[in-house]
Amino acid sequence: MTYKPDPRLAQAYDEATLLNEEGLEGLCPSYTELAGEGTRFRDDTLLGKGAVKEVYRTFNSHTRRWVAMARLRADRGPEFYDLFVHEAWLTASLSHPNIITIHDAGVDGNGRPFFTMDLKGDSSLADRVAGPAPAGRRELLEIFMKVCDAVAYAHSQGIVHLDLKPENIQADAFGEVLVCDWGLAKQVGELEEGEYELPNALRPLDNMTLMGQIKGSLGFMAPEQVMADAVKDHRSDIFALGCILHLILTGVPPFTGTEEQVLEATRRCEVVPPRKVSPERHIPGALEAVVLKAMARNPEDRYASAQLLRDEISHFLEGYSTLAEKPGFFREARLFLARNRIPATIAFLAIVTLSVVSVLFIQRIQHQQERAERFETKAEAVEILYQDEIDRSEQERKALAIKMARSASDLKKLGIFVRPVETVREARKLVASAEALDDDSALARLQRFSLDCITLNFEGALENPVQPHSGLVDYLLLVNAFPEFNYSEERRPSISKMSGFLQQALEINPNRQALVERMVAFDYASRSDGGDYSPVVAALLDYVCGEKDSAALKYSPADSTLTLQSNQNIRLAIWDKWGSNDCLLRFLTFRSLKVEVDDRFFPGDLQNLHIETLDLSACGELVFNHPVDLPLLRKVIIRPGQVSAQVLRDSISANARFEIVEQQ
Amino acid sequence: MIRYFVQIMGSSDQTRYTLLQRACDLHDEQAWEEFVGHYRRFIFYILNEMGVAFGDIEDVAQQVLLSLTKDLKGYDRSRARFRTWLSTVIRNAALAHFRKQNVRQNYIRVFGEEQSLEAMEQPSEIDLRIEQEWAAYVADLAMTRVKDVFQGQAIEVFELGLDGLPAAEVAEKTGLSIASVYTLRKRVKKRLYLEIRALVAELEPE
Repeated sequence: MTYKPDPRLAQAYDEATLLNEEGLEGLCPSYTELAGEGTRFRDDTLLGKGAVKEVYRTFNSHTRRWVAMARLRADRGPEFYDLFVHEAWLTASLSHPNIITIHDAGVDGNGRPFFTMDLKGDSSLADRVAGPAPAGRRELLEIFMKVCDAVAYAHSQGIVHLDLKPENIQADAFGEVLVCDWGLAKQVGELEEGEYELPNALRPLDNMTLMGQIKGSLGFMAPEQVMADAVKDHRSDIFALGCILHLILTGVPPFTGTEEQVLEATRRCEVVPPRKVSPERHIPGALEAVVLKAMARNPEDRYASAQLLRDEISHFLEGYSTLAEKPGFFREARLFLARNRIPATIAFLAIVTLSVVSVLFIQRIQHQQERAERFETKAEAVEILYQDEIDRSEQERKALAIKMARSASDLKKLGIFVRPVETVREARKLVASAEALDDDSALARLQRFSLDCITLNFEGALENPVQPHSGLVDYLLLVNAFPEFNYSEERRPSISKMSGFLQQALEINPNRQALVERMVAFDYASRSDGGDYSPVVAALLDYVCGEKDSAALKYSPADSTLTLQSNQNIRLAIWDKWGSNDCLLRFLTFRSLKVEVDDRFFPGDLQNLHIETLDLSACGELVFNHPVDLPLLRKVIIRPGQVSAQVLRDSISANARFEIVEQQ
Repeated sequence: MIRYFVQIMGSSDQTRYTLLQRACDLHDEQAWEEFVGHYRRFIFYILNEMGVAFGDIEDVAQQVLLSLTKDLKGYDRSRARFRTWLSTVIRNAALAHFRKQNVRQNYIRVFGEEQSLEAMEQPSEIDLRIEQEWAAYVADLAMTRVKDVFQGQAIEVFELGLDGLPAAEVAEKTGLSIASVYTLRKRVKKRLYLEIRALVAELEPE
């Protein structure tokens, strides 16, 4: 191989070895860029303006990230320089995950001070409470606890904020909470006298002009903050936290009206109790008590520390009573606890709360949003019931048991076809809790019976049979026919036993289509063996059609195909409100389906099948009485003239456009 | 990458032998083979450029290689850069060959009017040319290594840039975004420079 020089490269040698400017740029472009950056901050955009400072979004070209930069407002002169610098220094001295981090402070080319800090999303607690997508109460309470953490830490460092309000708290949707704007913060004991004599024009905050020495934001200030000679200390922050909690619970600020009205209400500490402000929100009494204690007019009567306030919320969320509740009640509650078996109940309820959350989570994953939302209100109802009514009479305790048993029923109805195994598991826990509250709750027993039936634990069902007047009494026809069935999530009948059971069920009690669908759904989901499930599906179809040998299934898992043959008006879904309304063939896995129904066929019955190919060409009459979702459908095969393409496209919705093939 | 970093930034108190030094001083067979492999092609090329007859190139190249190893001890970095020295060695060998051959017209074509041997201390036009050729040669070797490292369109993008094509046109031609063109170019260039420096450390004794 002879060498042929590439003249284009000659220069590269000199640059790389001599490391002149071009050489350095080639060898270490990033270094060159860093060294060559003239301006460190560029591309400013104004984010917000306060009384003293302006905050910009700016690009730090040295670290190559966007940061927030605070600058003194252009119309604020050297009189404000130290105020500004002190804010930077004081904030920088605080190191806490819930307090904004200061990166750097300095003096710019024009001799004006600036400091940089974390740039966060643009949602404040105010937005999370009242914005277009308000957060739920629990989430807001969790944000609130983090604010308490930050404030408690600052207090431990001898620093009070004095301007806590929702706008000064950044809270994103991922749980990050940052207390910002420490512009009014003080080292405790720091003298304020010097500031009293400031000429009006130099007062750092706009609202100072209102009343000499008012600082902080109206509406979240403690009474002592609007009084000239009163001591402002960490308890002023506690009051502001109380205001914030008030807002979180009610959705509206604690003091409203004109400036004068707010000022007056603040001075007199006229706090409207949260439950009175928003009765429709069902605010727990325990939380209202916390708000009123934090917002006590006399600083002595407030919580002694932000930590204590935080613990109250934490206790509430964990399901304990709060200290703020009146002592009379507290004593009574203790006696009540001693009299009854409440500790066990609390333990159960804690489990239930967790379980409910996990079920909701599962459902959300399944995109069963509508269902989940309906259930969420139930879960909340249970929680509030628990929080507020646990101390009530025996009768109310029974009512709670009934409500929990109903929740079990609702949960079962919502989740049994989505996540059968988990749903049964969670519903059983709810039933157990209901029984713990009231051990002869008829409804709880009915639910237990129903769950035993679904799981084919007829032995268990017989231990607690339903009352003769119950609506489920005909379940007993099946239960009594197979009293030896004692199946569970772990132990399932063989496939032939399962299909045999369904065949006989048709003879014994042909009127429980939804129950049978639930039995199969649970069986299918908890079965780990990979046998051919088509006998069970065939028996299920027979049951639904009320007739033996209603259809023949040719199932080939290897080709992922299924052929369904029938000479009658076969139905493939259960269209009552207790059934899933999804196609019963979903218990088999296949991508291609050929339907050969001599008589009328209802393609709507194929709801939610995950098929890619649907061959209807061997069907008699097609009746499109329901729209049908076939998300993965790519191809439909029909006979020429059998049905118009328009009708097919209108009736079938798929994720992508499917082709229509005409075939003799 | 780390290997190069060490070579570039390596502390000076640690004795580092270039390939040439190992080939000469340490009687390292493998180093010698490698050494010959690296230099021979270049020497052949230069001798051919200088008009040494095809049949004689092998012999003269052998002379150059011998001189290189023999005279290495005499090479003084403070007096001349390696490539200056290398070009002197090659030129001297060619000169000796032409003298022996007495092929005057060749001699004149290459060197111009006759100069004293002492004048060779001064860089002449041919020296400069050889030096440039050496630079291009090392860069070319480096480029060969770089080509092994990159996949996809990186090399194509870089070479189009060498041809002077503006980034926008390269982007259009390759179907990449302008930002990708800049990034790829920068990456290849950086790697090329690293390879050149590594080769210089290998091939040019200090």
